[in-house]
Amino acid sequence: MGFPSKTMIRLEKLRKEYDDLLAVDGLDVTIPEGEIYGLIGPNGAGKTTTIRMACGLLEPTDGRVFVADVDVHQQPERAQEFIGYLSDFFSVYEDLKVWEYLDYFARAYRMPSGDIPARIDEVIQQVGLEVKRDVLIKGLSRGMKQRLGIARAIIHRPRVLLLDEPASGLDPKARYDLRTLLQSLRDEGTTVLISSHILAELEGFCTSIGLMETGRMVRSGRIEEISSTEGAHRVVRLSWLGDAGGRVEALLGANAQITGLMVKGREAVFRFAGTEDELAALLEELVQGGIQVLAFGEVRQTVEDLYLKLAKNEVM
Amino acid sequence: MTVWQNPEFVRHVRADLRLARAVTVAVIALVICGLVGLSCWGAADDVIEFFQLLHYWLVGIQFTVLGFWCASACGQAISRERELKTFDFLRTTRLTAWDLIAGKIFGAPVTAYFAVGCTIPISVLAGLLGAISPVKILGVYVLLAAFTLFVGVLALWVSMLLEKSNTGVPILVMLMPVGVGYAFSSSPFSGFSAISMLPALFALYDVRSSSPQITPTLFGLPASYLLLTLLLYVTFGAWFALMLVRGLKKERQEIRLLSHWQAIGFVAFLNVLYYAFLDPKRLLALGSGAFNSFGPREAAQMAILFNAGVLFLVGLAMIGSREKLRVWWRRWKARQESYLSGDGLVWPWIAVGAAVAYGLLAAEVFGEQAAIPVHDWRLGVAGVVFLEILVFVVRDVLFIQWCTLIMKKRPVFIGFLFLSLYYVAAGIVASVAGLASRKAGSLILGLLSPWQMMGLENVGFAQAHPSYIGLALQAGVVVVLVTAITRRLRRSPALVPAASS
Repeated sequence: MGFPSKTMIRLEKLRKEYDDLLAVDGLDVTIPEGEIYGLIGPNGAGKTTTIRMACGLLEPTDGRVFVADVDVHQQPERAQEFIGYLSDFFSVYEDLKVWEYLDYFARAYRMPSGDIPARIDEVIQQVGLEVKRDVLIKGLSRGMKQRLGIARAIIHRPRVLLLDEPASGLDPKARYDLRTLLQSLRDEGTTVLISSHILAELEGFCTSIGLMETGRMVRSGRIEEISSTEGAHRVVRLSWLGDAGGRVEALLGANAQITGLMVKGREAVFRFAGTEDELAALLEELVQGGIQVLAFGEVRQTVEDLYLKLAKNEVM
Repeated sequence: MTVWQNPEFVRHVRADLRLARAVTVAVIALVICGLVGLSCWGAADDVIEFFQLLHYWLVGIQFTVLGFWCASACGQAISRERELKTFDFLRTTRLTAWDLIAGKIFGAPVTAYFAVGCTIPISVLAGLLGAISPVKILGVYVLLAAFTLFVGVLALWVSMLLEKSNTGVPILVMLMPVGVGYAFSSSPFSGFSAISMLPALFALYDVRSSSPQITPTLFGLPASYLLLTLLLYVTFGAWFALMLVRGLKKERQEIRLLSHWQAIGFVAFLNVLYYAFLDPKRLLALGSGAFNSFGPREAAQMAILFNAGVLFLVGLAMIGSREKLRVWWRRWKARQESYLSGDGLVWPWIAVGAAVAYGLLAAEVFGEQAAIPVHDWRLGVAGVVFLEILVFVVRDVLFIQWCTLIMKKRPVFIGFLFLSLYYVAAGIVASVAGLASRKAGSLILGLLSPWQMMGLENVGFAQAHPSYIGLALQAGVVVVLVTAITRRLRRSPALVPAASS
């Protein structure tokens, strides 16, 4: 197809109209292999519609979806070989046992029958349901059913995992386990596209993010790239020894690249619009000015910080 | 993939036939056989009659259980999964639509299959001991298998279209062919009655009813009910299966049952069936009878009425989603797509369907000219009436297509209700006007409905002014509807308003 071989998910000019509304408008996203891509945005931004189009459930009004270079809507059965999908609210077949449920989907994904029993045991172990293997699903708790859903999504070793709000209804321990599981899948080379409007869920393990608003992609890319292109707005925290608050305030206040200065006791937080070199020069200036600098550094921005800034069009 | 390996079938077997449940079902089935046997023993005069009665009763029970159970289980197989949100996961597996159809038809009613399977050896043995021919017994079970599969496909098709699961609707749908079948049994189209399995079953068992036995014909040749029933189940089952394959893995709103060419094929198929079942000898006999006035002219009118229903239903089957219609409109305006494109307005294809239907009527008329003179069919009159019917059908289908653009919930159903109300109101207004003046009544009937035109033969071309004015009026309504639809399509979709997280 002429795409880079490492591209696992490619959304081309994706558009979806519902009735008189435009839910997704001209989405272009490329996700390389091994990424965990967090699709963030408020409710109604078009995240679920995008994921449902990406996994072949919803036909786009316009545009194309490629997973592992296979057009999801032209060759749906072939594309499903590479896709694992989990939605936010779902049910499971309650009258089956845990292993029967996974066996069902392993067969439905046309896995070689000889590989299925071992793979079921492996996946059950991965999601921590070993003791429930032979139990009827109706006896499982909500969190366990969610884990079973995840096990179902990965039973056929998909190269791409599409997760729509997967942590809904999970307790903190289960959320932690989910993150660990996703990280281990990424380490094995699985590409993950995960949507959430709860940003703390994505914090720490997403390698890329895409911010959607009103059906459009506001910003997309690796977190470091987005953070670095946002140099004009890096947040810096400074602390010092002694009673130098007045001098610090005067020094920093005189710098035209500093805005939003807040000084409290022996600590200051400000926004710095310069480059890393200029930030180093500022530190040198403070030290030469006799300030006993105890700590000086950029405050690491969370996904939430980025989201809030992007959402306010601060970096547009 | 064989049925035994089909994951959907395996799932149902595992969930529905766990050891304890399977044993319970088998025991209940055998107990019922025993109770039926006891009651037959009391009613029979000798051992042969006992076995015959036992066989008949068990076969009757098998048909009833399988019919209702399949209709209920398959009729909820998709809609229920949509409600539970498990169907999306099936759609994202590598199972094809055919795999899903086979898995659900054989899997969803698996308990009924098992229960009936437990009783079949008893009923077969009873039949053999009751001196019933093994060929007839084989015929009965071939019929049972075809009936079960047909009901399963039909119920699954209904389930695909239903928004919410409903047990009653599929069962009602299953019972309809039985009723429709009997309505045709004494008509010149007695072959249609084979859509019910009862005539074939009665014919196999030589059961005589009080009414005179009618032998159905296929292209004028006598045909057995068993053959016709199998033919109808296979052909109609294939059409329903085609529609299922087209729509099963799609979102409900995106389902379009037939492509335009398939719809034309369906019109042709139904018309060929209509003329294949038309028995000219019976038609002539009825026409000359003392109490009947049914002849070639009426047969042609009936063909037109039949096609009115067919074209309306096929028109509905061709309506796609409003999203596709909008995309077609944009592309058509940009000269990237034809006006006759698959996603566009359906009216040109209804007209093509009507032309095909009229062509087949003409072919039938000339094909039967050895038995019935061409003039007796009044082909010219039929052409004018066909045109009138076509305009009304186009108007009604366009109205429903317009409803799909302006209504969010159940537009087809609501549109259909409005149309029904319209025809009832037209009938009432014409009746009331007819009380004052017969001329006024017929004028209103001619303007608002096609019924006046159906009586063209009696009125004559020259006297049918109200119908011609009505034809022009309805053609105007069609233009208004096309304009309303295109105006609606001109609107650009708005972006979804932002919501706070």
